[in-house]
Amino acid sequence: MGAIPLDKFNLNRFWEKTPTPLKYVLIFTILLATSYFIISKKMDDNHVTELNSMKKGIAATYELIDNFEEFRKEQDSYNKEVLSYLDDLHELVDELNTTTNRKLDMILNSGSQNTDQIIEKILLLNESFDKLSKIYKEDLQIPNLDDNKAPKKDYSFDFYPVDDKNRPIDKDGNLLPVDKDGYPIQVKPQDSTKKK
Amino acid sequence: MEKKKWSTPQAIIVMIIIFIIFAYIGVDAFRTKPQIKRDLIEVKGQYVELSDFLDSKVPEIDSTFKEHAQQISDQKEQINILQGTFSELEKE
Repeated sequence: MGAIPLDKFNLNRFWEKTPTPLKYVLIFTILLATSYFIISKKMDDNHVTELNSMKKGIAATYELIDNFEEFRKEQDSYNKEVLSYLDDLHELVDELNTTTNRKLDMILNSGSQNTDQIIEKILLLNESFDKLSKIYKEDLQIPNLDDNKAPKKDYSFDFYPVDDKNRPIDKDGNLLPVDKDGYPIQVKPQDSTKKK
Repeated sequence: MEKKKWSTPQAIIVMIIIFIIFAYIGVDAFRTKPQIKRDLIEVKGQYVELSDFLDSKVPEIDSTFKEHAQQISDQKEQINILQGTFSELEKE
C-alpha cells in the first residue's frame, strides 16, 4: 500500500499548475452548484409541499362531501319522522275528538239506559287517550349532528356598558367601535334587550 | 507552457472535480424534476376528477337544501294545522 505524500502537497503549486480557463470554469461550477442547491432545492421543496397540501385539500373535500351525505340522510329521515309524527298526532286528535263527541251524544241520548254500551264507549275513549299518551311519550330520534357542526364561537363575554345614548363604551367611558348592527366589534351581547 | 498545463495531474483533478459536480447536479435534477412532474400530473388528474365530481354534486347539494327547506316548511304547515285544530277544539 503506497502512502499518499500529503506533506509534499502544496496548494499554491497545485493551483499554479492548473490552466487559467480551468480555474474560471471551476469557480463558475462552484457558484452554479451553490446557487442550484440554495435556489433550486428550495423551489423543489416548495413544489412538493404545495402538491402535498393540494392532495390533502382534495381528500378533505371528498371527506366533506361524504359527511354531507351522512348529514343529508340523517336530516332527511329526521324530517320525515317529524312529519309522520305530526300526521299521527293530528289523526289521533281528530279520532279522539270524534270519539268524544260520539260518546257524549250517546250519553245524552241514552239517559240511564244501555249502561254496558256506554261503558264500552268510555273504554274506547280511554284507549284513544292511551294512544295519544304513547305518541307524546315516544321520543323522536334526534340525529346526532355534533360531529358535522362547525365549531361554535365563544361569545361568552360580560355585558358591555352603554352611555346615556345607548352607545357601547369601555370601562374608561370611551366609545367602542361598532359594526353595522350597532354591536361593538368582537363583542356580542348575550341579552337581546341591549340591542340598539 | 500554458498548453502543457492541460495535461498536468492538477488539471485532470480539477476537471474531474468539475465533472463530478456537474454530474451530481444533472443526476439530481433529472431524478427530482420528473418526480415532481409525475406528482403534478397526478394531482392535476385528481383535481380534474374532483372538479367533475363537484360539478355534478353541487346541484345535488343545492337541491338537498331546498328539499330540507320544503320539509321544514311542511312541518311548520302541519304544526299550524294542528294548532288550528286545537284552537277549534278549545272553542267547542
